[in-house]
Amino acid sequence: VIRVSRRAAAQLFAASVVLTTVAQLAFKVAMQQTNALAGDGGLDALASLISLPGPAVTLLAIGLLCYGLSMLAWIAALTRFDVSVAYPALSISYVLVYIAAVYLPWLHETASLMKLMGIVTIVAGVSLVAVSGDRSKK
Amino acid sequence: VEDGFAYLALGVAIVLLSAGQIAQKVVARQIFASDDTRSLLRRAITSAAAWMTVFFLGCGTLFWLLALTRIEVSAAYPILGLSFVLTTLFAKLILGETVSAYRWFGVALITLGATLMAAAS
Repeated sequence: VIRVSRRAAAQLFAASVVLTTVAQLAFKVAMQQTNALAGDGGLDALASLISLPGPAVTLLAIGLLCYGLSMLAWIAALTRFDVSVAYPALSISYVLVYIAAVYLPWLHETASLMKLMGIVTIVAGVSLVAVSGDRSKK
Repeated sequence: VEDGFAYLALGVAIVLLSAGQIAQKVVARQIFASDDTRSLLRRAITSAAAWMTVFFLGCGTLFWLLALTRIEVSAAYPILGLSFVLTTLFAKLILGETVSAYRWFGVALITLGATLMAAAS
């Protein structure tokens, strides 16, 4: 039996959020390096996934590793939390992906007021969901 | 047509990834927090929920990557936000979790926020 305290579950959740964010960013950069955009989609896109250049393969491997570790931490956290709380709360990784996409030089996406409003709305929603999860446990 | 294919792939990914979340919760219950004395690995490989998790998340990720070859991640990632509604609905219907009005409102805000981000990109 694996017993996870509520505090440990919260820490595992946080680790999972960070790992998921890193995985998403690794996938994003990897896909930027492919010629997948030049194909017709469908089978061509699949073929271009197979013939990726070396750096992209490394990035995909890093992304998959982060996903794997994230999943272990996630399932351990789920022993304590409702999935209808934990999964919506995972959207906090949008905030992290946004910050990274704006500030990391090789992604250079632009910041905007509307995106910022989206972030604020997500944070408000996650707060509500987290509070509702806390209440249901007491 | 090509973009339509990508958005169809994105829709399939959302359903598969949401189903994967439900399967993971079952794994957490049946494997991690179980009184079974067998090793974790042995419990995992004999668990239908574990195999379903691998299948749903594996196929879901494949469809997600396929969608990403056509759709900007900054647009696709927020659309994936619909999976929050679907997962919450599945959790209520399949797992019997109690979803308060408060929690639904939070999920709605999250989806709205994701939509705002999608519209901005």
